[in-house]
Amino acid sequence: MDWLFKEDDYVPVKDNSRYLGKNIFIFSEIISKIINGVNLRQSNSILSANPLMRFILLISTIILLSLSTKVTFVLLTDVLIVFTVLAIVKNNHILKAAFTFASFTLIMLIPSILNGNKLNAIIIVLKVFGDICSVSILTSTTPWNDIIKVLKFFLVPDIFIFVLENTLRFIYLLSNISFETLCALKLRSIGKNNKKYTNMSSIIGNMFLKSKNMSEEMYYAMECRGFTGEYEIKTRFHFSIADLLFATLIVVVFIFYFTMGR
Amino acid sequence: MIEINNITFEYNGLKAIDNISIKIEKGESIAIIGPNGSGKSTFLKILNALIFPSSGDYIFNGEKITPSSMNNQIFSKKFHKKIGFVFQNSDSQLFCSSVYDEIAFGPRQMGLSEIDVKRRCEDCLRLLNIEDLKDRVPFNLSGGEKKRVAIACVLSSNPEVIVLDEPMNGLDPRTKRFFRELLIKLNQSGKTVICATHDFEYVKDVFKRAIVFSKNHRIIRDDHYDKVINDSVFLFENNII
Amino acid sequence: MPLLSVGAAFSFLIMMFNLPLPGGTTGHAVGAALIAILLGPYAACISVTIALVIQAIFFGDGGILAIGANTFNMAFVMPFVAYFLFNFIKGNSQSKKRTYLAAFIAGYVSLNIAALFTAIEFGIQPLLFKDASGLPLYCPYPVSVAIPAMLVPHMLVAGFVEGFVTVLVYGYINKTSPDIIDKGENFKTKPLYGLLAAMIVLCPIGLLATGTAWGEWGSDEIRELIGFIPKAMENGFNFNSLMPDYTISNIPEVAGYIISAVSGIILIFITFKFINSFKRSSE
Ligand SMILES: Nc1ncnc2c1ncn2[C@@H]1O[C@H](COP(=O)(O)OP(=O)(O)OP(=O)(O)O)[C@@H](O)[C@H]1O
Ligand SMILES: [Mg+2]
Repeated sequence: MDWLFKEDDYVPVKDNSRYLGKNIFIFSEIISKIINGVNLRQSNSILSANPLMRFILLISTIILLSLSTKVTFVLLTDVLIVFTVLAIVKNNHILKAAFTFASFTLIMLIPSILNGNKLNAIIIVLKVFGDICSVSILTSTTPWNDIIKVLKFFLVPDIFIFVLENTLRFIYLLSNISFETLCALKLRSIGKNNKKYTNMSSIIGNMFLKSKNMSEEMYYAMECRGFTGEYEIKTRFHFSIADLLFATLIVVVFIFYFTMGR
Repeated sequence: MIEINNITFEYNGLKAIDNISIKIEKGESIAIIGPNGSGKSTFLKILNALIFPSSGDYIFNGEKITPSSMNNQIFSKKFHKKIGFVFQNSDSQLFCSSVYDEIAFGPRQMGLSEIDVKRRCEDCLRLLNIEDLKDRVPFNLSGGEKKRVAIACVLSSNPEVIVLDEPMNGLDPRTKRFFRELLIKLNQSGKTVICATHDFEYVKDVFKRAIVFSKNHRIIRDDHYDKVINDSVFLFENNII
Repeated sequence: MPLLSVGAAFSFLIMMFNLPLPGGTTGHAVGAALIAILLGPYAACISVTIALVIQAIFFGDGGILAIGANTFNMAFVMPFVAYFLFNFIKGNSQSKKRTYLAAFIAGYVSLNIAALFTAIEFGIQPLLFKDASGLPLYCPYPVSVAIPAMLVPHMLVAGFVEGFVTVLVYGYINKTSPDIIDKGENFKTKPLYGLLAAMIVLCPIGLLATGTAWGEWGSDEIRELIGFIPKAMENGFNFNSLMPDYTISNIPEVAGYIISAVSGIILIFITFKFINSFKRSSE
């Protein structure tokens, strides 16, 4: 016991544990993204309307973008999207993220560009940029649970929507747990760790065991509250000015596509 | 040994700690008291450099603890070796596949020989009275057993400062008494003990100093533990009892 | 049914765990093989699908159109290959060594087969989608480039990460609570056949019909494979709420990514040149 009562004279050796900092960072990002995404509240009346129209606009934009082979159409759509981000969403992170992705796509395409395939490569980069921006516009303006509920209009069964909603919740709970464990691992990593894979695997394994427990608990809780296997989601849809705006945009995008996108 | 100057911490714009300053000397035993949500856990996380204050300084043994100083791996490991943290939720603190490995984790990393590691582990197992659990998987243990393991695996790397976040939560009275004795023993052996707690009955004579956080995240009192605990008017006014 | 939510959440999070690789960078596992062994291939298929859907929609990497292909490769091909391989190698033996070997091989091989499928999907794009002058519209790299570009890094690095994670987590759970591992009974559950059939039909259709860009295709695969985008960048927005920048200066990391990106390009480029000169000499 004597060792506990005197101070160790200890100098740590070098050992790469950057991956821990990175993991902690990723998990804190997941947690804060979910908190932000689920608690989004819009003061802007255009964006606080029912997300159905925006969702349809998003899907049509993405599909038309990927179908199109004309640089004019793709470029014009991109400009419109950037305009939306700057004017309505007012979130520069979206542009930054999309720009990063587009640049990496460009890097990937360099060999092909050097082989003479210039224009198509540019179109691809522009498409990636537009796609990422438009998805981010939706997820950064709409509470995530509302986005999931939109699926109901596309005849996705309620039970599937229920599963999706709960998945988000469980991702949140489980990432909190893993986040803490990773912090504990970091605090206790005071020297050279030769079992990094084993430790990480145990954390993943613990997460699995906890998932199993959670799912059982949830099942019992549902049974106790009289869950019968039916789950109904109520959403009503009123057509508002904002919806009219988005509907117009949808039409505009289609007109663009058929006049110059094909 | 620990010097905190005017630190403030915000979660996403929400203040959790508001401009506090504290000095802690080697060998002290301090209780951190305050209502739920007053910032106790946040403060302890700052002490362990899990998060960094938005403004103000944290100085440990004369060295500033900042994100960039902690980015130096050798420095950060040395720091973490000196200060041990027992989480509020001991469930998430355990990540090895047996209790023995869990306790041996710290000493093994320090490069001790397997004989020394074994000696330390056995001492810790005995100290916490969990020799029987040696080969169990931590995941399946009961709450109190997990807490004992969590404390054992912090002690095994022999930190100079031990930080505990509500260690008595959900334990049976006998275990609480056991932990009380243990904290006294550790403090007497020269360890600095810093502990957030709501369980006043069970921590009698453990602490000499109490730091009280208010619900608006400031320190409203820093005094002898006994004086604070016997000042029931003060405690009542500040939602502590 | 709660099991599906939890399984999906688990599958989502496995992909987020970064493991250290030699040289200071990190890589991560897909986890589909592990889940297939733990929960059975059908549950794995659904879980991984949901995880990929959530990742594409909410964790913003624009992979919405790639969902078809991604789910086909990672939620269908991978778990089924892994499951059959695992049971084939393990057989009826009770030997621990053999079981663990089976788990490793299941992880390693199934990831590589999924990568192979992805490469083929990339590779057939220049054949299917061409502009008037015969230049490829979408992914410009033919099968002969895509396959080595995908498979070399997977065989050398990512496959091992997948294999090790599969065997180590399996080992941990086998040790901790062996009773909860799928024993293969639910393998015969019939109702799931319908869903599976739908996936088999839908995925390739979605894959060919959308025929999107290369940046989207291997939403996870291709970028991760050459070590492209650091996850921190991938999660584009930085709400910076929980942790004030934990890793402030990750210069070495960024350098690592640039190096791996450059080597990725060189790899593609060399393959390209090599094949071209090969063609020319044969003409
Ligand atoms: N991860 C987080 N994100 C946002 N806010 C947080 C987070 N953690 C804590 N808070 C907030 O910070 C404040 C202080 O929390 P903290 O956990 O430090 O309180 P505490 O004194 O430990 O309370 P308790 O006695 O309940 O443990 C609370 O208002 C809490 O809501
Ligand atoms: Mg607390």
